[in-house]
Amino acid sequence: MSLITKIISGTRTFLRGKTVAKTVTNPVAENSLRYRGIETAIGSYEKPGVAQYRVKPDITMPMNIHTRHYNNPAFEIKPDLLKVKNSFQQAELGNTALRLAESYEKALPSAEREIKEVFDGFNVSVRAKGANSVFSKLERVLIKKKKSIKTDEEARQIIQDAIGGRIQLQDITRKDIIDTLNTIKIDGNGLSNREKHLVMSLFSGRQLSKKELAIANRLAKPIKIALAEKQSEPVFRRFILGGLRDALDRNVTTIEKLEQAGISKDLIKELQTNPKIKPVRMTEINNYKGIDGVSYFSDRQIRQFERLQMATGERFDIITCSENIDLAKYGLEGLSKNAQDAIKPSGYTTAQVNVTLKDGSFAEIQIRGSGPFGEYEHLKYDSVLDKNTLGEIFQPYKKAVQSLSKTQMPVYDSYISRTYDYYRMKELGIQVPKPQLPAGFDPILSEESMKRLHHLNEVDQARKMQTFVPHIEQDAQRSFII
Amino acid sequence: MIKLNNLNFKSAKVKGKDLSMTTEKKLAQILKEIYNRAECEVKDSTYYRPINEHLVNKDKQLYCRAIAFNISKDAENKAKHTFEILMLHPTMQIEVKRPIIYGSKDDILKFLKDNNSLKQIMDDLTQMSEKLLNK
Repeated sequence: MSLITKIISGTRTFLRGKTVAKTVTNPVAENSLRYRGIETAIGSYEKPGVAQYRVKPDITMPMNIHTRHYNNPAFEIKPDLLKVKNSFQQAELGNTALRLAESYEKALPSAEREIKEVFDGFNVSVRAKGANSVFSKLERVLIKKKKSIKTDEEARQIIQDAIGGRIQLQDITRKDIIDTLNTIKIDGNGLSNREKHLVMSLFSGRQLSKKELAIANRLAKPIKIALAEKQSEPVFRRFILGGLRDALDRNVTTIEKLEQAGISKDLIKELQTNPKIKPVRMTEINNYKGIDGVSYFSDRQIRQFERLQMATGERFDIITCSENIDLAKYGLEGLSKNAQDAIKPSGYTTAQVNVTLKDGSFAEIQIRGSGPFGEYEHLKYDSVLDKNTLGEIFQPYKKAVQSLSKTQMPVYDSYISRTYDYYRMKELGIQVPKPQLPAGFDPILSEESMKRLHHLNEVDQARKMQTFVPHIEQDAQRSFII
Repeated sequence: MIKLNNLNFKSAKVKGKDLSMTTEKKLAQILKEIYNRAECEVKDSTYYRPINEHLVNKDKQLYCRAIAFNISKDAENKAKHTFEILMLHPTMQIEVKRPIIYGSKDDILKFLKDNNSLKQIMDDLTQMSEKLLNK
């Protein structure tokens, strides 16, 4: 487009007072070079350089084009100013988020190779954290921790899931259940034929008498834990062996020390005989489950992680999320019922292992089953936190969540938690009735609705992404000529 | 003259908050108690009930409801023990656990007696608090 044509077009747009979103092939690079003429000087007299960057078709985030090319924030980003939505602070944080996101994209190929090498044979997907997600997390953490940042490196340390990996586990089969029933020992005893039959009936959703139900329920919990362990054992072994390999490679331990620390003999044998084991440097383990849920890592597996720490002398935190935490060890067992009712169940069921990759990047590897709820359960969490990551399609859902009263929210939490448990049981080959949205709640809040919105969003985003290029929004009403 | 000897005189005690004791002092006191208990109760050859000491957090610098300290025997190796710290999220739904030392009874006692251990534990608590704040 010639200069004269640009001036005419820009003048028309300016006079009409319309917002112009200019699609360019390399938007961020181009905009850092400064426009000349009418299409220029992003921002306004009050906020020079501050603009909205459309990072996805339905999501924008603030940025500052004047300082976009810097390597660090132009000034200290402070939580109290972020809290009051100061434009310059938000824009500078946006720039930091963009720079970090670009570095994560660059690190993605090697990160993906490394993670897929370690977990060869598993269903693994790897992605880099996007700019809007980085921005959202930084803003939330800085305000919550009342922390300020002066450099990109300080911001980088906050984002522990720069690279996200996901490993999908296989579901438990009927054969797995039968094998478990035949081999499990509860209180030192195997199950009788009658007990096995009752448990199978319970897991198949068949009707049982009151007495039979009592027997089956008593046996169900340890069996479910055994099934969960069976499901996660292959990936758990890969983590443990990777951690041991890493410790040996860095000479922080020896085989003899591992034996003395009580690492199981079969793990040590595999370590010595399997050349395909790749090192994994773990920094944190998260094991989350709902109120009646079954976590992906069992207590026995967690103790093996602890043993790994003891064997290597290296410490990483093991974080458990559960409504069933033993409060007695904190001296809180005498808590009054009212106070205990304040515990809100979240239901979030997953295992996550934070690792540091060879190039120093932080990755979070999530372990999940085939249950689809994990794909869209974050909608409730994101709505409550008012995160910037929800597109247009989700706004009615978000509004409905934010409209829930103080008495309604725990009821909705309970419904979400029971839905988690339902899908978790399905992964373990156990049939339970599907929870229904409580009466009086907006139907948009149901799990079926969340699933439908998620699917619609996927289809919509895929269609929009065919022609979309991230770009800076230009507000003609607020532009001025330079 | 009225003599007040031999009277079982009980004055009213007003319970107030122990504001004078900082977290560091409370932790030092707890470590001392754990040391004393470990000296008596921890055995390298036989079973003992895990040692647990805890405190409810009132320090605004630490993002947690309560802190617990445990010493327990290694189920696989009777001669070894673990000293670990646990921290409970304010919602009481999340718990972070960090092992501090693993070894014989002497190793545990040596660590608890060491003057630098308190500072190390304070650093651990700060890091664990950060983790809980991220959740």
